[in-house]
Amino acid sequence: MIVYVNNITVRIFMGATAVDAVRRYCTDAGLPLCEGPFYDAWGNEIAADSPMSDGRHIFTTRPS
Amino acid sequence: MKKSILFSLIGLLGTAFAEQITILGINDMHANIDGVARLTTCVKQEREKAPQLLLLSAGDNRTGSPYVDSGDHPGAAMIQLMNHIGFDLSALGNHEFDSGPAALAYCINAADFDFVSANVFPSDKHGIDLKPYKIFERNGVRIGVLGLLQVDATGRPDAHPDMCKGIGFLDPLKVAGHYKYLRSQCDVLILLTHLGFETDIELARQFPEADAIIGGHSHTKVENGHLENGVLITQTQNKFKYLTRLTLEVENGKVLSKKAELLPLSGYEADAETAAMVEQTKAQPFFKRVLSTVKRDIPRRESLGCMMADAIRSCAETDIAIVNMGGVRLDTFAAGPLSVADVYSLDPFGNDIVRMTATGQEILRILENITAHDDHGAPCVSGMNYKAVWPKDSSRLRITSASLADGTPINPEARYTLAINSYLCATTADMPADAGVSLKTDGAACMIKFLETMPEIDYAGVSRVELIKE
Repeated sequence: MIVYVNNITVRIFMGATAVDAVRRYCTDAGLPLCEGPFYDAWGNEIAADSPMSDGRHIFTTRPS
Repeated sequence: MKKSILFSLIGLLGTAFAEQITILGINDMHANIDGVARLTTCVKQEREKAPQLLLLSAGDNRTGSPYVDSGDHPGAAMIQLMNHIGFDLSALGNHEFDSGPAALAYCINAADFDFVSANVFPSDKHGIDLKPYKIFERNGVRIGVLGLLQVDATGRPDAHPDMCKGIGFLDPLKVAGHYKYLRSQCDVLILLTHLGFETDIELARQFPEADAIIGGHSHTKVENGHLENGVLITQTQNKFKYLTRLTLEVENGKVLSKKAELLPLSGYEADAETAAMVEQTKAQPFFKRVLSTVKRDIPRRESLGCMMADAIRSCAETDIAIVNMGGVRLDTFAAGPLSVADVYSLDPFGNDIVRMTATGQEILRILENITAHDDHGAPCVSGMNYKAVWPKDSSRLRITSASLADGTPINPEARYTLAINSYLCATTADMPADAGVSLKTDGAACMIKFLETMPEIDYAGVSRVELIKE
């Protein structure tokens, strides 16, 4: 499925969690792994094990 | 004249005092039973202030602790604790299905409270007693609570398909529209959902008749409620971190005001009686259960990794399985009994197993790339063998040849099914085109399933990697 981390497209397995998506994002971008906190598009903090669904946007810093 | 003045006074009195309704909401407790005792204290304190309050769960009560999720009646230990605290109602979460319809039916029957979900349709044979909604009356105020469960693109909730077999599911947003009539039957209308915050936003836009959504699923920490289209949306992240106190002022069947506050449960002392119940739950012999007997000492970590890979491959029913050496947390294992506790010592991570298809070339690339971020050694495999060199000047190994377990060379162009854990899936560079599907089960669960079918195992000396150091 396709999800978005910091507005960057990330391809990840079905059933992935927020931390899986961010790890994939970091690996693809060559960044050190980031373990949270993570945020949704409204700026709410989400848990690392928040289930991802196709098209969901998450962020590693609180979106303004 | 006197009579009419009296009636007017009664009328005025009737409208002068609004009723205050308190509803406590929590979601995604995920069997994190160490949090139950603090929740009990918090609820007790809230009940002293508002004895008529409602305590609601937005689902995913279970799944997250072997103390709760295993045994003869998976999930039931959590229901017992919820009965003790005095829950009034729960929505179904996707994880309520994790042990199949029979286990869910047992839990619902064991609960002193009802479960609601308007878009879930079990067949009669399942014996699952589920209602679409429930109407409570508190201090003369009628409070309707409608349950809704998420379904994904496959039309099922996020659970293993085998565990929901024979149960019908409909789109929760479409189904919700059929229950707008509840507004006329209630003074307060609550949607108790397990949809995720983003879908709750959409629901609020389509269902302004609701006063509030007590949501779950996305593990979102919603500070003091999010007002969308006049509907107050709440969620308490997960695992007993918070509880939401929803307060509504109701007068003559109308909600005058509403507010939500997030109460951090870390600030409460553990209730002693509940803590004792939790300890009792933990004292069950589950972890001591012997799964198999190890025939001879296993002196090498790689051999233990091969056993783990065999378990994952068996569980996922794939051609090949890969386990990274960093995921094998014991170096040796002595001959004798192998218990559930040993399995969790060997794999304490709880990473889900992902099934995918990959070409032979992609599988060899995964094996090489894993070593770029796991410096514990060459990955362990099942269903195949490989030879590799570890160049002096490189942190990555290079595979020189590889074959299936029967000796057939791995064809770089052929497609194979592969099982691998979610951590490797997310952290290994250049993964296959097929991103895979989580089996919704972790490595330890696969090992338990694999080992309990074998009275005796012998992995002494098992090695599937021939490593040449340059």
